[in-house]
Amino acid sequence: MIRAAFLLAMVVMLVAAARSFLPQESSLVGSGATLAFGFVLLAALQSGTLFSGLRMPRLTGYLVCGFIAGPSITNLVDLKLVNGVAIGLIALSAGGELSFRRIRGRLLAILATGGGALIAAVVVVSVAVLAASPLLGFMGEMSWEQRAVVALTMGVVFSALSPTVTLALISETGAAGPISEMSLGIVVVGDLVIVVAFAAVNALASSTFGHEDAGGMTALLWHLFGSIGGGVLFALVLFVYLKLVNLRVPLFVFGMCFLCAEAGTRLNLDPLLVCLTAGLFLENLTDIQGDKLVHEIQPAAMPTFAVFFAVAGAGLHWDVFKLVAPAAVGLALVRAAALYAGGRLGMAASRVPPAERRWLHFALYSQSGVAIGLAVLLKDRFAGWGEPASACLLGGVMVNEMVGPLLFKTALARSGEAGRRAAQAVAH
Amino acid sequence: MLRVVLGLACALVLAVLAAHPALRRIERRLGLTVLLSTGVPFLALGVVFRLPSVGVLTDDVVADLRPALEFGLGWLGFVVGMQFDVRELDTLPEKSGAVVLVESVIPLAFTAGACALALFGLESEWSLRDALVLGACAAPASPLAAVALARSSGSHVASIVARVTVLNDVAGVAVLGLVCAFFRPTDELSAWKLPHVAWLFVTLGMGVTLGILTYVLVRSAKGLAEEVASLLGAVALSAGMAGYLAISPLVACAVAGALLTNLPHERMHELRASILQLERPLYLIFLLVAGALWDPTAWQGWVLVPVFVLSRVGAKLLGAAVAVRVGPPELPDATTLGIALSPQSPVAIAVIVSFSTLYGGGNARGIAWMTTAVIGGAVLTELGVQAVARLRGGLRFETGALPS
Repeated sequence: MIRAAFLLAMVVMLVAAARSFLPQESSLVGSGATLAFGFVLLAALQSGTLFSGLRMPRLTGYLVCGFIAGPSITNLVDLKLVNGVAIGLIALSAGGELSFRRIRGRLLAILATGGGALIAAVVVVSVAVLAASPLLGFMGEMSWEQRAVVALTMGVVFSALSPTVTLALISETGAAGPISEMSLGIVVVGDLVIVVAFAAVNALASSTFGHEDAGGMTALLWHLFGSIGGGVLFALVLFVYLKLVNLRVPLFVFGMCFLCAEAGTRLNLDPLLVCLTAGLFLENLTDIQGDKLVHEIQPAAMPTFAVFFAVAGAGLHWDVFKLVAPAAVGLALVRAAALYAGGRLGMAASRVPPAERRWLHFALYSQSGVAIGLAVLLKDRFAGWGEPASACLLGGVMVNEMVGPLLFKTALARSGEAGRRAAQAVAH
Repeated sequence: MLRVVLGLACALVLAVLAAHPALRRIERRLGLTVLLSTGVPFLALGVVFRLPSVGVLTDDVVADLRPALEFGLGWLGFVVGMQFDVRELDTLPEKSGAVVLVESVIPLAFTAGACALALFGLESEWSLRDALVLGACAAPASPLAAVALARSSGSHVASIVARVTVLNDVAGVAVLGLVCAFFRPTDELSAWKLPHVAWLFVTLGMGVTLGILTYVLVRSAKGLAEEVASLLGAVALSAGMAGYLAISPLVACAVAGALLTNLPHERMHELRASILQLERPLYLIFLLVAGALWDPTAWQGWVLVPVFVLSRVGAKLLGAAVAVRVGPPELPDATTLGIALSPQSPVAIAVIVSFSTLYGGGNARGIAWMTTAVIGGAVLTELGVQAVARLRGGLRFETGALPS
């Protein structure tokens, strides 16, 4: 820990010294981006080590590091590249870890728990927003019908879960067992449902507020099935590469994820869905073992995750949060209560063993990429109410992003699943 | 934009595939080196991608790729520096230092002089800076020299020559460092007003500090993933900081790499292997960008090519003649040694690209000619040397493992 603190101080001092070369007001381009990337990566890694020493998730360290470094770094690092590749790697890893053979017996529990939690969260958060609408300035002049649509849209966005955080924590703690597997299954399926539900409420909100919804149903179908088709294609390319070449796999996968992120967005495909399908296809329909692939791409994944979460932390603006803090904290509490109640109900209905019930719901509270992405989409698509609604949602995401990983890591440790993967490997 | 993404993705896939062992086997069978088999196609691809009708590497994309280019230069700097292992150099026979000296200084001085005259003839104004940089590009010799000599002269000679080529690379990079310190790019905006010699200390001090930082980072890493992440971060920070201060990332990272490799670390071989593993794909991507930055249309550059090649190869042969007289007795005859050391090292192209990214804003025309001279010279030298070696027999330039 002392070494990490020393290294962090050294990196900060070196960058501060370099920054003194040019006047503060001068713009930083070119080398500034390389410098910022190196700084973010090293500072995040050391912050992660520091937090790990304090028995907190490394991921929280990355987030806090980005948050402290502030928005100044967000303009320097090419976020689109890092974000796109990170989401691709995370989705590929999540798909690769999800073996239908292994979770066949728990499929009902996954669907019931995830379904119960999500339905409860969407309903309760929407009702809460609707109930609080007279207090929210941006909804003051809307009709009740419009308020209901806005509340439903916010409810759907705010119910998003986080496969990225879940997978990153399972990977960080080396956890293995029923809770880890079910958590991953729930958050992956849950986010897929949220993405589809968002497309539907987006169409509803567009028609309610008189916006044109380009493409409508055809675009939605292309988005979904095109992404799945793209994922199968990606899996086939990866399969052929692994069978015939099998060299520098992390670099190749990194490049392919970059392609998925950049080309996919332009073709109206969802990079997350493309990479998730690819991972699922490889794990479940080929003789390539997904977990081995995940292990192989780990060297490329770690720096990407560190930068991704640090940059996500830098995207959390304290100034905005201060303005919406009461609403954000209130929303986060309502969401947590709904997820807990709905999740417990689903677990009881599907007869999840009591020992697992105790810890499984902790996987539901974290939020990150998908929620942030959808909140930003709201702001971009709906002038007027989109911006304040997005600010409230991002404030709530900030709370969940900071608290959720801490809770889930504790749950993995207390349930005894943390570190079990290494033990299983030794046993084999 | 989609075209740009697809073009760059294709280039990445090709770069990864170009490093496949099967391709290396074909290269070996045909007696080709990496520059001819894949380097030239990637350069050509860069030139084609740059064409307005193709529109993949447009001005904006090239500007966006500048950080990646700097990162690549930094990575190659670490590769060069990490070969400078003092413990290995200590095992060289006596008088080997003289061979390094003559094979670095003579090509440097001759090529710089000849190219200065040519530049003067082409544009009536020449600069010592440009001549020195062309000299710096002349010093590095391809590591293939050792492979070529391994068959005809034995592994001991090959081992000596391998170290000589490493030090030739270091000499080229060192001259670039001096140029960057004493001929600073325009920095009116800069808050630091330092004398030229102070920039030399800044370069060395920064390299040493970053080397120590990298060492502590990789030593404290737990597992391969963390080590790779730390290494990536260290290279990005080093290259970014050097570029930010208008120092060549190649130079600063070479100093850092040299320090790193000479510090005790039980997993240094694995670390070196991690760095070398990415060398070839990075080099090819790097050539792609170099191709896009390169303007081969100016005839003056092509006039400079024969001057550069003839002066450099002549100086390498002269250096070999002197080396055989003053160097260790194991060395082969002067002509064989001279021919073996003639092919250009990839570091020469890295030097000219680093130079052009730092000084491209000023005498850009002259720099474009110099780039043509170095890139064209590398291809021409290799073709010429391959032909001469086949006619003479004895030497066979092919990609292979270097003798340890």
